[in-house]
Amino acid sequence: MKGIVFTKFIEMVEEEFSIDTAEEMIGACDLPNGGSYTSVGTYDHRELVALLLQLSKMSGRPVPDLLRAYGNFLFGQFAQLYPGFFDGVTSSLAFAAQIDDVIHVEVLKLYPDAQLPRFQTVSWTADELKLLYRSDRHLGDLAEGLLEACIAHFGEAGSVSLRRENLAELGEPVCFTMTRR
Amino acid sequence: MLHDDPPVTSPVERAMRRAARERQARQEAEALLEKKSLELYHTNEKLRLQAQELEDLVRVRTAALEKAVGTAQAAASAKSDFLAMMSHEIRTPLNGIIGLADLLFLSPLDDEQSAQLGLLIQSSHTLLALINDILDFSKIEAGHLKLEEREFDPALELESTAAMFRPTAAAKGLDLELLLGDLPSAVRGDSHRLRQIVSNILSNAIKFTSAGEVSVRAGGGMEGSGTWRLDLEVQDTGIGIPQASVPHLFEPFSQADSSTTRKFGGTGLGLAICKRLAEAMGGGISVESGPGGSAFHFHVRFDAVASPSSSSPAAAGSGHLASPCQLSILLAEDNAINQTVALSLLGRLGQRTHLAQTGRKAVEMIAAGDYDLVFMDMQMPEMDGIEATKSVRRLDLKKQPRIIALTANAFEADRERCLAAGMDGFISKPFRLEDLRRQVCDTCLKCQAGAGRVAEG
Repeated sequence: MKGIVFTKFIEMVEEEFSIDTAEEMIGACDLPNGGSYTSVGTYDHRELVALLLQLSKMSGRPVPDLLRAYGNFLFGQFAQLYPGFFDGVTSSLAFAAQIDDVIHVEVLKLYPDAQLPRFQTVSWTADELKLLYRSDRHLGDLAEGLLEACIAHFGEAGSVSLRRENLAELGEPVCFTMTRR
Repeated sequence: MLHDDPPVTSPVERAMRRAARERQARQEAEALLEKKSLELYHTNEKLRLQAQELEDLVRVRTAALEKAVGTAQAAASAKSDFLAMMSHEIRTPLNGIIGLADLLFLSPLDDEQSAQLGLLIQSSHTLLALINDILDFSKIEAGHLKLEEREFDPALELESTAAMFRPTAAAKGLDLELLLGDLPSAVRGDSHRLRQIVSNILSNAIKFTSAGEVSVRAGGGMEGSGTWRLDLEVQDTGIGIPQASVPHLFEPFSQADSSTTRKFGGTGLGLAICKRLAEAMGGGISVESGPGGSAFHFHVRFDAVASPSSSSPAAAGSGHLASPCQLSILLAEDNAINQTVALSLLGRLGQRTHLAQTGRKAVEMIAAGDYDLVFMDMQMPEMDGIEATKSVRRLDLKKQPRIIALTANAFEADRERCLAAGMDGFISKPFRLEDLRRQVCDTCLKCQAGAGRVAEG
């Protein structure tokens, strides 16, 4: 898993909980590198699971809840770091539809070894976008948080709804439907 | 807190841990950067080697191509040499056939023999024309066309060319009309090639016209200070050319329709040669044709001559072509068949001719006699035609004769050698009555013009 997922997660904990919480969370997990992450590195995704479980334990919030919150935070970070992806894009549906074909293509240029989740566009009309999410990491909750933040970013929280259906036992693939009211 | 025993750490300790984590993360990032840099270097190196390999490959391929081009050029050159040599080899015996057939025609023959001999002569002339055309065309296509730069009188050239066709036209009951506009008395260029174009178009016009007339109109004008443009139109009242055939008319091996091949003969090269010659002489050729006949237009450009040199004849007016006058002619030729043919043909032109068997003998006779015209074979024992001509030109004579080379060699280089040695013209074997008559006529005209100048002065 790319290092940016870890560095941003720790940043989120620092900002939305506290620096002390972050320290405590890291200290309580037995991490191979002592919890030092660089965004250009690659790390075992089980370390993220350990951190999440620890944060859940510390905060009393369920893991899916934390992941959605992290998805919200991460989208805001991406918007700041890569404003180019938003050029000429005017709606959340249009943005979400280009994740696989545009954004992930660019990511792979920088990180050819990145294992990226798939956001496959199943159907796309003016008022509805159906996406199929697949990932080895089973982070459907994170994806949901990202899409929620995407809708909010375009000021469409009141006009676009997000529906999630888990199509299998383990939760994947997950079908997201964004509908404009 | 949810933990039973929360870790007891001071803020300073936490800050230290945080700083240590950040440092470790930075060092890891730096190590990753170094690794990426190294990978990039290796990739670049690989690309450089690939580029090098490609360049080497291009060099090898280029060398192979150059070699192939060289081989192909050598093959083409060998083929063209072979063609030229074969044409030369075929011309020599053809010389004998045509000459003897012409002679045989003069002997008493019954009607059937005459008809058969007529066909024989016609066939051998067709064969000769074919060989000449093929050789000429292959030379032009190979880029070996060289144009002569000699002063000549365009009116005289056109008149003597038309004169060659008068008997054929008359035999078909056609009027052959030559209308000359205001032409300069001398221009500089290749009169031989001009004659070739006019002959080709005229012979087509006569061939495809069964009744009526063929007219040649010539005019021209100055273009700037140094160039004179000749415009020529040959109009006939013949069968015309189908519109669909017009665009292909000047392409090699094309004839208006393939059935014409059988009916009218011809190589299909004549007009292709004309077009290339006209273009080489800075001009072009075009045709208009309808059911009532065809009109060929062509123009060529010559260098203008400010004041004609004394060797060029004075302007010859229309209808100035006199019937052959009596000349004093010497034939320098060692081959018995050629002697018989040439003497007989010249006899038919009403000329009495002396004979020299060798080049040395020819020089002696010219030094002693007063000859107007000498036909000089190129290859003779003791002294060849070139040497003999050089010797004659060194003689202090009251009047230098015109010397015309007789040779089986059809190459431009031979022409140049003849002219460089001081010869005035060139007939390639097998020579024909028309060739000899043209030289006799030209010499007569020049003698008369020269006599006129003397009388005036």
